[in-house]
Amino acid sequence: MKKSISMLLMLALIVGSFAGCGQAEQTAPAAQADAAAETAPSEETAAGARTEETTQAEENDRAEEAAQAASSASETTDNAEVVEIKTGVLSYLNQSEEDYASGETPKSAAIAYLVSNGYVNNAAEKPEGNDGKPLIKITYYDTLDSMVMALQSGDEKMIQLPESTADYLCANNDDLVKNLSLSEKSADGFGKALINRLSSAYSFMMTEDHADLCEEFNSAIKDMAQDKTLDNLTQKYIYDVINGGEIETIEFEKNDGDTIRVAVTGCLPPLDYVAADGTFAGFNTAFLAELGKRLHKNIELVQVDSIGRAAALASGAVDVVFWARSYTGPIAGMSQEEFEQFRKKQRAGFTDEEIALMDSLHGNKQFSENARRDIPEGMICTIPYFTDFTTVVTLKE
Amino acid sequence: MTLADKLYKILIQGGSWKTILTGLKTTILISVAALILGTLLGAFVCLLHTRKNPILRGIASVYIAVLRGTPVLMLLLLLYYVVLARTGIGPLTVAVFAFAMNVSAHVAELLRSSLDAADKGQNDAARTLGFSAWDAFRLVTLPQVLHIAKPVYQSTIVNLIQWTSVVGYVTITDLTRVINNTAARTMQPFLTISIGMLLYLSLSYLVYGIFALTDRKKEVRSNEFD
Repeated sequence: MKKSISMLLMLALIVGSFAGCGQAEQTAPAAQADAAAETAPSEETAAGARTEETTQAEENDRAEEAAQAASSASETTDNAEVVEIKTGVLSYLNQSEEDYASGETPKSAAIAYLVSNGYVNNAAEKPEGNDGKPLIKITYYDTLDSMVMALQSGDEKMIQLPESTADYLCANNDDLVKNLSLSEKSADGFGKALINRLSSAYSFMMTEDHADLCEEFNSAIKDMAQDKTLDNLTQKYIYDVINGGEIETIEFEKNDGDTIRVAVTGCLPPLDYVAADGTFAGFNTAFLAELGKRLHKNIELVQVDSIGRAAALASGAVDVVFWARSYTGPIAGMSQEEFEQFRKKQRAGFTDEEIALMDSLHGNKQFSENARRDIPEGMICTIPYFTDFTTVVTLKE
Repeated sequence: MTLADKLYKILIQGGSWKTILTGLKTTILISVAALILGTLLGAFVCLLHTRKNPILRGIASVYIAVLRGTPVLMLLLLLYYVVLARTGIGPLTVAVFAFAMNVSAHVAELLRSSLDAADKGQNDAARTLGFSAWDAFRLVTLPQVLHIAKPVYQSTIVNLIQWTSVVGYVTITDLTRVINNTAARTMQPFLTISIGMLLYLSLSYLVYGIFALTDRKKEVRSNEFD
């Protein structure tokens, strides 16, 4: 009896202390940036001025820059309290601290534009203090569940997620709410281009030795986009699943082709997760099954933790991993030439102001730098097969 | 969503419990295999350590020092992704091997300290009474060593079970992995992980229970001799 009571007590203690564990505490330098969700359009000019400040700074004196930014914040706000908005970010969505430091301010300007023009609906209210310009404090998480726990326990004020995952999360948790959502209007010209730019592009990454395989993947992805297979798969495995549709077991065709081992994390529903019966499920899996059929290859899925993926790929334990390209957006996988064409065509109808806003998102970097920005050395990526708008999830008030 | 709904979703819906049991089975399999192999290997290393030959002793000392002083996860990653990367040996085998090595170092150290603690005079007495060296060890020293080693061995086993929770890094779907998968799928991490902890806790108590059982048996037997 004594034993069982002490056991229960112990368990209660451990469960209680759960909130704080499991998170990779690599806090970003308190990047002077706005909460993506909570910027008002009237602050655009101030945000623009700060871009210069952050992009000028070298990486090695980022600490100094953070200190400067912090002091400039306190100057502008006088006696107002400095509000820190704690934000959780998934480490495997490849948004580095550097990108945050230089990218968050123009990003929030862009989101403010989208909200004020009705492309994006924002459910969040403006935060108080600092003239409504809070400091974002980023914590990286290696797994989705630890990040969700941190949000639910109040450790994080908000978490950033791809919209499909955010929808799935909110559909399964009554106490969570998605702040930014795309409106009906988002389908038109500039809004669409800007939204694309703020989306994560999903592609496959492999070592440079697999250049041939990468080409095969690319042409298959293009075919699937053309004959609407991609659209059907997206509808069936993402939107239907979010709305509580039936989940089918995904069958992989066995054939006499080469075997390709692909790493999945099982940690990003509805794109990539493991079904109740232990089989791999989700859009990525369904997409790979179709890809295997088209390329006449045996696809073998292996579950590797997101942190272990680099080791798995480099050692040859797996041939291919999923790779989210959060910075590159729609230009992922384009050549310089394609990019110029894309840019020319896309910008024909934009005003100067819109083009300036778009340009600020690319930072001061050249195309060649941007194109490889979220790919590790010695690796290559396919063209993206799916893009998803990055949104923000918070606790319901 | 009520608690019952959440529990149904986590444990039952779509045959989820079967998947969780499969993960539990993998954890037990790795633990038991690593324990048996590690104990044998540990006894052998301890044997080397008690030799008079300085080279053999040195090898055993270094082996124990390195393996006890490094995290088993590092060893596992090193073995799977570097040393045995291109050999085609399955991850389960590599994991059993890595954990066996780690346990063997602990067992070797445990046996060595227990040997030191055992009364040497009794062994000498047995030898003067005409017992062979092996018989003296088997009948006089070994029972004492086992008695001294038992409580620490028990916690080594419980530790081993907990350490195996990192095998997810080398593509094995064990209990921790299944729990993480379930947490991601159901998006109920708090509840799911609590359930996972309960499962690990019951495994640990199972080990304690088994040891308690052997204690009781021995008491009964010693009573018979009275």
